[in-house]
Amino acid sequence: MTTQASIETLDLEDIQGLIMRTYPLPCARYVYVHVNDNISARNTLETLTNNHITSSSVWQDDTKGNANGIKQALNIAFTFKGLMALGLPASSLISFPTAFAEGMAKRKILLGDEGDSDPGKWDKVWRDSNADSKKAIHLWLAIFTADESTRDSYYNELAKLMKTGSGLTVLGFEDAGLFKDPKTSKYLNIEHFGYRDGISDIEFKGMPFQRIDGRGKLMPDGSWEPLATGEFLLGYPDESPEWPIAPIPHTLARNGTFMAVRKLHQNVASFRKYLDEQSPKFPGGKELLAAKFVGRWRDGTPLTLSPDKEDPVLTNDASLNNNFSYKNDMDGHRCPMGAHIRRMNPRDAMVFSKLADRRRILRRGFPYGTYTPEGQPVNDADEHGIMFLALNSSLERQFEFVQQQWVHYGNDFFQGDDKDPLLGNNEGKGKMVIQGDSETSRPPHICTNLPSFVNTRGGDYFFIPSLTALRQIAMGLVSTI
Amino acid sequence: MAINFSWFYKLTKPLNRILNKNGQAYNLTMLNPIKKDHADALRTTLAKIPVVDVDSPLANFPLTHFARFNVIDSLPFVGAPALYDHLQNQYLVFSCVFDTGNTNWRSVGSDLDAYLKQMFEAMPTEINSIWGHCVDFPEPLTLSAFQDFVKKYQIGGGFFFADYPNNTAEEARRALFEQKQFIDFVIKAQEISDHAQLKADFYQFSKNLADAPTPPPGSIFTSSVVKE
Amino acid sequence: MSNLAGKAYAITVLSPLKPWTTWLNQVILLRARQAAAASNDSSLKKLTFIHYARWQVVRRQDWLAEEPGQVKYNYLLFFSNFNGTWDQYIDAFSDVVPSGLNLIWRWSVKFPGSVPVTPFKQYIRLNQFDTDYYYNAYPGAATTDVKAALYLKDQMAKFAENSKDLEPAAFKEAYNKFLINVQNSLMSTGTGPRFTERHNDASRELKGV
Repeated sequence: MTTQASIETLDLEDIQGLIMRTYPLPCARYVYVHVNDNISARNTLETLTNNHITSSSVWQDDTKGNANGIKQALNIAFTFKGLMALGLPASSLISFPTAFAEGMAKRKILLGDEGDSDPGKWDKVWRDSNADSKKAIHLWLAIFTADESTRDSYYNELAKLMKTGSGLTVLGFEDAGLFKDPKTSKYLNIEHFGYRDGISDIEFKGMPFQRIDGRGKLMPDGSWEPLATGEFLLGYPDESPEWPIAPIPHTLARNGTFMAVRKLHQNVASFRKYLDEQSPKFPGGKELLAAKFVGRWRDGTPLTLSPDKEDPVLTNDASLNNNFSYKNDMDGHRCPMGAHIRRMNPRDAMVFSKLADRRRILRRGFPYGTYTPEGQPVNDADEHGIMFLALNSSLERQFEFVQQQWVHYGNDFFQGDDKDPLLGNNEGKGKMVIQGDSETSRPPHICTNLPSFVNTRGGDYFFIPSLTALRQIAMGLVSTI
Repeated sequence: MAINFSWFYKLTKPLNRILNKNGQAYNLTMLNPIKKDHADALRTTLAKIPVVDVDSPLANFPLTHFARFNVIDSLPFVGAPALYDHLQNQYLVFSCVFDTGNTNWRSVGSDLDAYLKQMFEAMPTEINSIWGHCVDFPEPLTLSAFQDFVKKYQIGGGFFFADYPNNTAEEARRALFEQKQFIDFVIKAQEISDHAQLKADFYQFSKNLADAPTPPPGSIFTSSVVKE
Repeated sequence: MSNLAGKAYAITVLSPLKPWTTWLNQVILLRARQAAAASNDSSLKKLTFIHYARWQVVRRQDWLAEEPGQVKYNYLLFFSNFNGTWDQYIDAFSDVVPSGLNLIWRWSVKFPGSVPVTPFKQYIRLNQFDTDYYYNAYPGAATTDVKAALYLKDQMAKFAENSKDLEPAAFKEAYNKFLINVQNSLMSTGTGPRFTERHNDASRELKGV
């Protein structure tokens, strides 16, 4: 048995802040930038790094959970084309992983981005990025603010930095953020299909936050341990344990990570219609059916803990709402084998929980568009979706694996070719078996003709460097000699 | 370095043959030297075998579960302090898993002969075009010469793992075919509220299913027995 | 050349055996076979992604066209027909059964151990031979699908036989029980996961009838 030396703390001031946790800032703007001149761009990058990029030091001693009261944050990431445009030497570029170098659009078959999700149908800024080298997205700048007016004013401030002569051109931007309840003006944690979101966050070694059971990996005795840092940050031991495969030189990779950005459009009308049409046929009714798709009731209560009803006490307690295993639910009678959360994080559902430990991703995205409440008229074409951000050390081992093997395929869950009911490109032909219960004699139910409730509308793969690496890139110091 | 253990291997040869079987499944491994300058032609022949499993010559006789061909052009060199092992010839590896229909360890010899007979009758052209590139290939080709040829170059022994050792390829495929049909039935049956109707429909489905032929080896199942 | 046929991947690995350890390797393989035969619950079976696999020894003299003394090592020959990607397969072995693998492979020259995974993968890749032709009689089915289907067929026959004289209400009850019994044998089979590099071939490789 190998033992891992414990990581007491990480260099928080070197790690970009959004890697550690989603900021308590509900308004986001993702700005897409093109490098038109290497030298001036790097000067601007140096300014940005030294004056604006938010590091994880905001999470230091964060006892109130408000990131020490910050009102705005900025983070930055690069595509492979972006690193090329900034003049990284070929010997360093070639050490980046294949998936990152190809970019997301080229990986479309593996990711299931076909039919309505095909890159040819993506939103303009993403289509242009793939088709026109002068409009390629090189940098991703993410602004996070406490409210919309701060977002606008901060953006204007940054736009001044990126005017003519800066070496950078803004190609466009996309806004996202939590929904604001029009009556109470409070920000809500739900997404467009009506499910509570943002419940399960990951805990890895060295994070400065309080430990919460359910957020790490399951040990054989049923206890929870934080995951290995190297699953999410380059330069630290991963679950194998070894240093994750990383680009060279070392200072470029350390404290950095990779990110998949995916603009996921949600077909809310189709979803509501499907639920309305199917629930008369499903013993248990609409809310149970909705719960069976995901593995949680719409209020967030896990089905495995509470198979018959929502439970506000359970769902509002962070130490409980994610703290469960599937050991008493191995046949799926509570949470279906193919339900969304079970596919995304199988825990011990595949017998050996170690098989799930190396396939986790940090989620840092936000919904976009205005929430249409239940009962109000809605169309699939309306702006409803999630700007999904998945962070991990290895796009191929983690994010892509989950997309290929667990979203668009189900063999590991004894679901054969059946896909994830929410995310799969089911195209009207998908099916999902909702397992029955031998205790109550409730038979299994098969949902058929599942449409694609989600379509991909844009995205790419990015590298999120540390602040050290940002300065190295800005000063042109990256070298493998 | 090499003490002569050949007397020991003569003794263990029957054991090594028995180890080719797990349940009713038999794994044939052959290691054939390729005639000088024939390796590339052999590679091309293998590349041109139809890739679609249903169109494969191996699909013409139903005993095979899996079969593969590898051309070994050189042995891997793992680096110092290992010694470099150089083969003067290239080799063809053939490994396949086939059904014997019995779990009797004594019949390993006749099991292999029976399989080779089926292969000989179903794909004599391909046997010629593939193994014809190998040293010692019997010309003219007869069944018993081919059987002897295989046994001469066969490698046995070791640990043969089988996940479903007692089921034949035909049984597996039939079960998969029926599974698809049954799923279609279950979906239709969800709409039936009358229990007597359900019963009648189930037995009608059973009968239709029993009469439906299994699609050929190498295919995936796309058609439905369950009527609209 | 393709290592894939439908949902199955053909891996073939040859590794040189340290001198004087061949007999030990043979004994271990024999023990492994006995252990597998005795138990239905081995980790290998629980991992449920291998159709058939074999480890066997190729002795120096088995390279029949070589002069005596030409081949210096005995070799361990490993075949597997498994489901999933190559990376997934090796990851699973490294994560779940490292000691079992170590026992079989530690006699191979310069075997780095099965943990951590990257040097292990490099060793396998170095010693792996790509497949020139691969045939799969049921390309649309993973081994889980095969076993589920066999179970379903067996249970369906029993159900049909036992229920033919039941009254409609009792039949319905028995049918529901039967469905619960086979509920994890109701997966769809077919083309399986898609791979970017092979998407042009994929549609040619699996024909439905």
